[in-house]
Amino acid sequence: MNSLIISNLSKTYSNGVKALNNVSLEIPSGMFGLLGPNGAGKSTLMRTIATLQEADGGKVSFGNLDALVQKDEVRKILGYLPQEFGVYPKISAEVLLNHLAVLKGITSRKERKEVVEALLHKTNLYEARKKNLGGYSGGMKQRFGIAQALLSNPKLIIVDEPTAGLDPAERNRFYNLLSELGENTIVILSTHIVEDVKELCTNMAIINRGEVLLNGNPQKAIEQIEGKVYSKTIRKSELQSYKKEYTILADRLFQGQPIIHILSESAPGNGFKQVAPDLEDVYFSEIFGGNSGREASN
Amino acid sequence: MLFEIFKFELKYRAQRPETYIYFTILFLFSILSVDFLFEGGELGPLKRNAPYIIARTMGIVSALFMILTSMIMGVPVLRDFQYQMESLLFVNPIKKRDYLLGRFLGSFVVLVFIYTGLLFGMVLGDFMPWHEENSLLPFSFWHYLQPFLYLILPTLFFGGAIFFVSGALSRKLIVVYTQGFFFLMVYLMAISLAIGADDLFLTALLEPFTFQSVRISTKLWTVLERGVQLVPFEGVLLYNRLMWTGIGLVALVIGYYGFNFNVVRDKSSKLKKKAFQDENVSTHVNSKNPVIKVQTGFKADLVQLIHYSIFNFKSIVKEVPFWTIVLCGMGIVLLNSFNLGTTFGVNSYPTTYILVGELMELTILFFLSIIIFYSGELIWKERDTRINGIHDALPVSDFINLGGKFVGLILICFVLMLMLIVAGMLFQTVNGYYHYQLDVYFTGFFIEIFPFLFLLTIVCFFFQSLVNHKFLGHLLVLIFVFATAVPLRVFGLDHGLYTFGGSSLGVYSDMNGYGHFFEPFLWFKGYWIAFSMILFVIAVVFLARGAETSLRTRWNLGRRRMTRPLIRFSIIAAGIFVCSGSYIFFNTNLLNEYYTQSAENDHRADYEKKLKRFEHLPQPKIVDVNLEVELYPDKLNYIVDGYYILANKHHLPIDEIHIQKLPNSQIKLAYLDFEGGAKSNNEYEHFSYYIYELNESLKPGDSVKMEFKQTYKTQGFTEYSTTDVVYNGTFLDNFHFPSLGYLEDIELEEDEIRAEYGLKPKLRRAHIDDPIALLQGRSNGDGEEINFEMVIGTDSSQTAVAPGELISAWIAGDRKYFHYRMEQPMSNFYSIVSARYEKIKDQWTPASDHLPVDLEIYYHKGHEYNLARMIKGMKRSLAYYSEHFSPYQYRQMRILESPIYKNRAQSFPNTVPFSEGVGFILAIDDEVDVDMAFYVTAHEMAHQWWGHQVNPAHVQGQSMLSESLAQYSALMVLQKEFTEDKVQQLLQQQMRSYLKGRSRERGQEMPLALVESGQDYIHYGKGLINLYAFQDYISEDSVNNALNRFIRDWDSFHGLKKMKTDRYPITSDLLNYFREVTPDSLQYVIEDLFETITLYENKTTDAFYEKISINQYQVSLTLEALKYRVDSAGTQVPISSNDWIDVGIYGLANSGEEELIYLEKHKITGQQIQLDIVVNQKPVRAGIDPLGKLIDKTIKNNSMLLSEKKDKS
Repeated sequence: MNSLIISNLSKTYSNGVKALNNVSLEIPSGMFGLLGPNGAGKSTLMRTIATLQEADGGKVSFGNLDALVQKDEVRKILGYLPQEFGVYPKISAEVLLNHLAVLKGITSRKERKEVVEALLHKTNLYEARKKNLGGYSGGMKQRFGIAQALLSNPKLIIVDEPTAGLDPAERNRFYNLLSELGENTIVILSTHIVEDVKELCTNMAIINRGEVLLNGNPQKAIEQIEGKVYSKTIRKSELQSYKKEYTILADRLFQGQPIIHILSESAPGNGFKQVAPDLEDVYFSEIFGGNSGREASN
Repeated sequence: MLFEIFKFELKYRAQRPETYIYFTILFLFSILSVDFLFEGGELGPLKRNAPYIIARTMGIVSALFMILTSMIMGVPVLRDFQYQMESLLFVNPIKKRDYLLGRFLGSFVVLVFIYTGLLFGMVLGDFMPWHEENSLLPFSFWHYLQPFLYLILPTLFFGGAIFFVSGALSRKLIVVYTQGFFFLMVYLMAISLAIGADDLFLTALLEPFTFQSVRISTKLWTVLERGVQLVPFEGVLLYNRLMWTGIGLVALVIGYYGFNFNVVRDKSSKLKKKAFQDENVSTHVNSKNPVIKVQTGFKADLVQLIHYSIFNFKSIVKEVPFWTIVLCGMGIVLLNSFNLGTTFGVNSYPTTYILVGELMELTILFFLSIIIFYSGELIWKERDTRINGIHDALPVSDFINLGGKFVGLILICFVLMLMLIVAGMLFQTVNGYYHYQLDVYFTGFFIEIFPFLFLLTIVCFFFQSLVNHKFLGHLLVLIFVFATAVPLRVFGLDHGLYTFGGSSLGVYSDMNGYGHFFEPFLWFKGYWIAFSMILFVIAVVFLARGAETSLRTRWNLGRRRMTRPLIRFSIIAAGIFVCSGSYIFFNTNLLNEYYTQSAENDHRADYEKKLKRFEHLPQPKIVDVNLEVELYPDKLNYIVDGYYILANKHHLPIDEIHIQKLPNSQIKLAYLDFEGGAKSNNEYEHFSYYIYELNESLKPGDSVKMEFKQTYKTQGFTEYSTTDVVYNGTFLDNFHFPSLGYLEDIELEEDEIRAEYGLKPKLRRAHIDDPIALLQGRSNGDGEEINFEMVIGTDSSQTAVAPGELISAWIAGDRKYFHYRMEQPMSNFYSIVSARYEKIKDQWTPASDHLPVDLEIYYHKGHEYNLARMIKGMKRSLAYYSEHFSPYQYRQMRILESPIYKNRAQSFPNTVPFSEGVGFILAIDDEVDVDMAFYVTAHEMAHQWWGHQVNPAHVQGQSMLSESLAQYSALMVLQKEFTEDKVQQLLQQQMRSYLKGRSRERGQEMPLALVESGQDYIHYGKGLINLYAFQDYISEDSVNNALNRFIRDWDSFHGLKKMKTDRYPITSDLLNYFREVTPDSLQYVIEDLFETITLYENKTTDAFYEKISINQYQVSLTLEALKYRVDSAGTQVPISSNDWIDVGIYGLANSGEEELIYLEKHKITGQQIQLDIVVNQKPVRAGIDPLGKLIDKTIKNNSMLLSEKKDKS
């Protein structure tokens, strides 16, 4: 199976914001997590791959497709769920799905009926299929979004921040849906929630300010900082002084008291306990830590 | 707080580019607005910066740019919801009042700022260097500011208030825009009230934009007044503005109380959401996707296109605003479709073509609105619902995307047109008219109108795609529609190859269908549709998709959309465009001659400059006409050959004869020979003017035979087809054939255009003393009295008719021949008519020993409605005129139905072509209508006397002797046959048309006796009123006596005086006969009625009665009588009155209706008169000239209801 190769992609908006700065990635089949804080350039990257935005420079290729030029070819194999989208409020899920299916080229009425029905079942919207989309909850709408993205058995699926705003139960349901997508498909999932990537992705990249900070397997990335993460519960007033002294990865509150994670090559002492790192530590070490390990080997 | 919010709104708007864009658009448009709106001759004698013009222009522009008002005023509250700011905003301690009022006032100030673009634009427009000095009044800023303050500000206020409130309450943009249709509806309703109504008060009151109200409130102004006076802010105009301002205030109050200052207001929808959420707890079914195949290729594209079209169609049909618009449109149709009124104030039968025309006229604005509005909605549909992220990444081509929207909207038009057809048929059924012509419905809507809607839709798509801004797109379309309709024509460029959309189909005639107009129409539409396809491709290329919106990026992206099929499509479209364009050019400009307006003007001016010197060159007169005419109706050709006999009636020999062929490239002279030979001089051939130098000069009293053959050939087509020779209903007259000498008709008419060529203004009629014009009657000096004989050949399915007696008729092959000859001399004025006719015959036997007269009506099958009325009209006329004026001179009288192209009746010797639109399809209800079929017949019959017995001289007053006398004669016949009511009804209608006509007069209003050409309102309207008043003063018999003497002396063929002179009679001749029969005490009325323009302003100012005994009531009246003369400068000057004027008193009849119980002429001297009159019945109403026999701008106040006088206490 082909992988999606992004090389030296750059984009600067007319207001001067550098959304993508020489981004290069190779995205193989399977779930690929694109992790980064708000405004990191994730959506720009996704839109560019999804043929909706022009890049200033660079290349995106998929097999022998030049995705930036052969847009129509890309659209034929693409399933895209944008970060924010609306629906025609006075139309039912079934009708709109059917409508989108025609426009995706499923022109056989019989096939269309089958696939629409199957997807409605799959996304658990079958019961509500006759209801107008205007009455759907956020989670239902999001599931509808994934249903439409899957309509034409796409080879490339792009889902942009799909879990934002979902409650935990809905998020779980959504994970299940995503995880079922075939292994021969490239699924790019952008998110700012580390959990999403941890649970779903075999590969990931962390980007911030338009640059790729880390690219690789989440497990490997975690292994990289294995044994370097220490934790301590401190008092709130102490936070500033700790910040000066250590590379703080995260400060979380636990019962009102900050627990800080720091990155350290050697044991820092001072009451810090070594902990097993998780993906979040990797993430924060990339975003805040200025960690030198840019490339995690696969 | 209020001020803070107000300030915030201003600041926000000040930063928005739209504010300035709108201002600029309005400003630029306003600079040219007068030129746009009053193109060509619309301004008439008014200066372009006359206050009246400024006021009307501002009104129209404010109506057109109502969309701007909605954009500004609809959004201030809505914005907070749209950007989901409401939660942040409404939790703040703001008072509802401050919030709403602040937003409203802030936006309103911005709106007024934008509209100052109109004010300053118009000011600047009048300073543009290309205006000529004399087309302007001296500048006065007040002339602009006054209507802006009084007319425009209220419009902005109520419009703004309604848009603001609808936006605030509905929180939906679409509802705001639908409000625009509310204004349209009110406007149309106001206009529809005006149709056929006498009193336009209600129209003027309701009309929201005041440009019609301004017109109505100045309706009776003279041109002079309209040229310089400010439109006064009083009367109905003031009430109108107060009412609309009031409506605006009411809207604001409603808005204040209706506005819910909460974030969520619709609880039910919230509940629905809740109910929904619980359903999705069950675990999902883990199923494998079925195998599907994504189809590509043509078939898949087609399926997608069809599906998407229907999807878009349904999405519009589902919308409430759409149905609101449709209901508004239907409402207008329902309100209006009862107006089938004709110029005579009588309704026509609801024939299909009239209904199609009416329906289209009433709904075209709705169609335009729906197309403009929904093209924007469709193009922005995905972006507005924010599904564009999904939609834009679909593998559907941009062509299909745009195509689906386009076809969807076109389907909407289709459905609406079908609904209109059904509505039309329903209306016909309800009115008991069952002759549904489905083909006419179909052609009218789907062939005539539809291409225009199609083109407009594409233009909308084009602009929407190109500018990628919905409202700017709407605005540009509006401007485009105006701009293409007007400026090219202003420059005299009117060829359909470059005026967008090409020409319209032309008039439908029951007789001739769409005739030969179809072919050019279809070619032009094909040409423009091909052009629109190219626009469509451009729209596809520039259509925004994805996140990129800058024009340049869209262009870069779009270039890649030029796939091979699209390129092929464009090439085909371009190919059709070029080929059809070439073919049209070949037809209109090579096979036929095409002149731009300016080229034609050049030609006419040149003709006058070069040839005017021949105008008074002595030429012989035609005394004998003998022609054979071969008509080929199916080929639209004719051949005429035969001879004229020309006689020299001058005292000097004639050496050269000047021949003018009609300057029309279809007409050719095959030969033209003179007996005895002549040398032809073709120096002026480009003017179709030929000089023949006779070998032997023509001595006084001698005559010469002129033989000629002329052909008329139709090759290819022209954009505006001629209608003389048609498939069914050919109607030619003698002016088609060669004429003698300089032809004044070719000269330029309009003073302004003449001035451009350095030509002096043209006399509208020769002066009444002009010695040369006195020798001419109606035939331009070609000879007035002729012997006439003609053979007409035509298609065997048709009947051909010319004046005279039908000597014989025969069939030869597939052709039919008719031989006509007039037994006695007749006017040199004859018609040639040929059509597939039905015929009815009758006979009228005179009382004396004269021979009976054969009466015939040739009519189009299906138009039988009024034949009996016409026959009766012919008989009654013949009887009355023979008895009172002189015997009828011919043995036959025929009426021939002619196609609607010349929509009038015209009287030739014993022959009257009568247009199908005039009398044949009138649905006359004898209860309420004047029998106009009868009346018009009587009028045309009268021309057999006033025209064909007496031929008035071609000088001022000519049409009083023909038309006014015919009007009088017909009225007398009508009076004998019908009730007094009908006479009054007709008189009042003519009074209105006179008053309206004089207010539109561009030149100088003339007294009746000096009426000039183009002054129909005088010779028809005033002629009828004043001759009626005259016989009311001196009695019908006395007038008829005078007319009898007039004919006795001035009959063209044996008149006692006419036989002794070469000149023709003039009005002063007639007035002498009038004077003979008028008593001394009334001689003054001849001066008042005929020789001057005299107006009255009669009024009853106080009226009461007192019961003085059982059957006696004393009526006391205070009357005011003002009498005016209009001098030659057009100024109205009061003069002293010493006149006999009717004073009338009404009582109640048993039927409960008012009835005259007293009507006497009183000598009214001075301005204020007190009168006491005793009547023996209880009076209810009384006044001066209650019937309006005298010309009076307001007849309503002539009488008033009486009140009972109480005892003095």
